[in-house]
Amino acid sequence: MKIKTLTVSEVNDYIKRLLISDPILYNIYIEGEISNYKMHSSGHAYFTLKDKDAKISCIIFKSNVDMLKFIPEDGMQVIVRGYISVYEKNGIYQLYVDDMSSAGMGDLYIAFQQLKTTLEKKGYFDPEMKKSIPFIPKRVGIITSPTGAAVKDIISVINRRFPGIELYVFPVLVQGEHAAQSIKNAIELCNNYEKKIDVIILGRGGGSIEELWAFNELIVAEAIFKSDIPIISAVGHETDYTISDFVADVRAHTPSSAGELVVPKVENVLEILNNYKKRLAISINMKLSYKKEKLDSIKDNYYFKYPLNHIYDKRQYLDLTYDNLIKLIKQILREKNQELTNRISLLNNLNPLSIFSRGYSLVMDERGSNVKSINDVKENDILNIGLIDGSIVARAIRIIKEEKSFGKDEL
Amino acid sequence: MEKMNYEEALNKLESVIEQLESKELSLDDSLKLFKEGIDLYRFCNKKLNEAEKKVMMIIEEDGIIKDIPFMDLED
Repeated sequence: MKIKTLTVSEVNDYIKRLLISDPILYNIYIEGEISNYKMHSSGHAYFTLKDKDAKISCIIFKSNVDMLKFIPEDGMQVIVRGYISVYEKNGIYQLYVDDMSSAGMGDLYIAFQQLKTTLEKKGYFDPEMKKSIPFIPKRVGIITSPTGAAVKDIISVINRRFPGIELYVFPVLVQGEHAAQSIKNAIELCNNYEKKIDVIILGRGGGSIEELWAFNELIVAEAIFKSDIPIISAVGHETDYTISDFVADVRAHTPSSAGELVVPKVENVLEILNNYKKRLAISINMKLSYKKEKLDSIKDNYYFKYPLNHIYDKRQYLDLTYDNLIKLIKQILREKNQELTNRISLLNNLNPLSIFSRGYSLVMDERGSNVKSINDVKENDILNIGLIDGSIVARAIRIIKEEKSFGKDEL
Repeated sequence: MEKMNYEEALNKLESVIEQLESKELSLDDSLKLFKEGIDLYRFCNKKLNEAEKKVMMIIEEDGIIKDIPFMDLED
């Protein structure tokens, strides 16, 4: 029997048909380590799956890449599902991967870590990007399931702590395929709501990682990051961490504790206000009493206490000066008067009339000239003798010459 | 003289007294100085009276400096 000669294409085609019709190779799970993982620009990904001793080439078509829960990385231990077939052009067989899951850690855990790393690098978790929560918000938006226990907890905590806060519940799906989109839409709606929402609580009650998964998705993370309104993330229990918790401005351990974070206790606020009021009163009173003391001390100052003393001092000095002036003028007048009196007595002494009064007489000749010597007179001359009260006309009967002249030296 | 202040007038008065004390002056000059001294005294006296009145007026206007009441911010 002559064996038919085949073309290369026919051989590869034959092998391919053998492989894909094999019940084992057609749907196979293989565990191995990823190496040389490469995303092609076409969207297909190529890598090698290996164990200690062997390798197999793998390809994932774009449609399947998009469905992967995490991004494959070199060194990851994974279980892939797919089928073995031939790439006829090169004559090699390879594994066509439909799905991939983590062999070590859970897929979702890996996806979580990957998104966390990416967002951290983008700065989504930076402390300086965090918005501060208002001390007392007027309106609180609550994004959660309208039917869960979480919404009831949040509302009752807020109402108990600070009655009168306006609460707006934005109902969303908190788990399942459409949950992430629903949450994203609600965050955007809150930001564009007709009334200004001051703070958002985003959350749900506890659940498995799958149930909480919406809060680990990129679109939710982005919506939180872009929100102008500060967001408190309250997903699950204290031990559950989600991407939302990291991106949000504040993380609450539970929905109830979100209620505690979002509003203060009204009693505490009143107490704080009262304290402020007291401090205000004390400080203003202290200021006033200090100023008053200062003013009092000025008021007690000598010049304010005895405002006229200054003038009285001046007046006393002026009075003394005045007395001095009067004393002086009196003294001057007295001196002048004394001088005058002295002059008068001197004048008095020289007055000839005063000589008459002492009994002396004035002898004149007939012509009225003073007779000062006997030589001025001859016998029988007529003489006029002046006295104090009149005169006598007399005749010189005899002239007697005396040796000693009378009183000449004294005059 | 009206333009002088109290201290200037007082200084002048003192110098008048010094002149009256020290110099040999004629009666007329003495009287002239004395008259000037009295005028200066009257001027000073008037100034003091005015000052005193002004002080009294200020005190009366203000009254006793009142105690400033504390603001009651307590309940």
